[in-house]
Amino acid sequence: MALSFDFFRKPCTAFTDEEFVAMIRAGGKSAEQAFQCLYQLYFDMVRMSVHYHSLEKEEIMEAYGDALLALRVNILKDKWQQKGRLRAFFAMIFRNKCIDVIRGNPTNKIDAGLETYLRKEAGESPANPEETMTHREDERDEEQRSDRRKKCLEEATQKIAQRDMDILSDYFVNNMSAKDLAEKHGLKNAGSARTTAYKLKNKLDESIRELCETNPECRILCPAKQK
Amino acid sequence: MENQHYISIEAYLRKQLPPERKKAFELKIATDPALAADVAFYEAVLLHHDQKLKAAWKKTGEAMFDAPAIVARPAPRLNRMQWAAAAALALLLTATGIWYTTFYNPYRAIVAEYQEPYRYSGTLSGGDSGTEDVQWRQTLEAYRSKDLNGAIKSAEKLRLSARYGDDARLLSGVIWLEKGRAQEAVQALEGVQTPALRRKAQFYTALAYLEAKEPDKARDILKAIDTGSPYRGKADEVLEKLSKK
Repeated sequence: MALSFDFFRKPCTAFTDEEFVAMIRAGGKSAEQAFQCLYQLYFDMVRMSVHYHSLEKEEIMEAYGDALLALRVNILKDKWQQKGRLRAFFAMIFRNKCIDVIRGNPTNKIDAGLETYLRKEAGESPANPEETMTHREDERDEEQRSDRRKKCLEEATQKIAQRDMDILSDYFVNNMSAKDLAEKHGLKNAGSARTTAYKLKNKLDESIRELCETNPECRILCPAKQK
Repeated sequence: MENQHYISIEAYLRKQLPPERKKAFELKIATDPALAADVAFYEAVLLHHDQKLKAAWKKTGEAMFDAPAIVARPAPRLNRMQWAAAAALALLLTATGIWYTTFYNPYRAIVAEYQEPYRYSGTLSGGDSGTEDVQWRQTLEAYRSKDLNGAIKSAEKLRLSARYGDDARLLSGVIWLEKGRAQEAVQALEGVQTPALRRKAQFYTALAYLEAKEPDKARDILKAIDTGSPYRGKADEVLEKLSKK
């Protein structure tokens, strides 16, 4: 075995839960690095979920991505109180996402083994897997509304260049600092980056407002003004 | 954080709010056009963000599916090879440290340049047959035949000799210096009192202090060598070399 100096670089397994949380809260490149690590570290849950054959690999990976994104917002909202491991907290979210996938497709069956595995990961004891299968009709309506909104928003963003959407995404979602934003997107300076981000926001807001006025199906995006 | 407002919106959009808070938030959206606009804006940006990120993750996930799992555990422990490498490195550093402090002498080159073999300046004739004469002859023969330990032992017997005592001390000092035993050299040379021999002893005492890695003491002695001494020129040369170190 060749002598490797990787020993001196910090691998993903060397980060503590607290460090990951701090990186996610910091946003920008730190958060990106944290998620790259977490994606790899928790991926065995995807493998195990596929192993139980109850869900397709594509569906599980979709649920896994959704769960990581949900983990992010839960951390930003201080939902993880450090009472247990971050992995267990994530397992709870991932389990819920898997259940969402199961509900979404009537042909899917709940596999008791998968349920037990995910509950174990989340630190819970095995329970009746049917207990969360409630209000199916309400959720179907909600999903239809969500799909309609998504379609309208995609139409609204067609007027905005991909690069501009990247700027909006980095500034408003990834919490990138104005300085880092300027550097990444070749903007003049931090002040210029901030101004650009808000100009693009106004542009997208305007595009959404126009759509509400021209497409009745998209009025769902703009509720009626207060009387 | 600049985007705290959007974190709440994101929690709603990602369905991370408990049912009662979700309902309350939806009621607010329905009655607050500004909030509704912010939700629509952020939802549009989030869609773009998620699509891009999930596309990148999908590629990573596909590649990882057949690769061995990374098991999450605390900081990795060293394996045998790494322990062996770390131990070898520690040993090398220790050996280097020991070599540097014990064996390496930055002044050795100067000592070697100015050190000369001992030459007896007196005369020995075959007619000298006194005990001390014999002893001195034996000492010189031992030195010339490279029996340095024998020469030192023989010279020791002459330390109280009025005639050969200082020569014996000077010879011992030179031998100790040749052997690299600086402290013994200094001790022997400082005992030399005869003026003619004292000048050489003084210069060699300075060399002995350099051998002992005590350049300040060497400098003091070299500066003290008087101008009439045949070693004044060499002393100046050594001082010049020391000033460059």
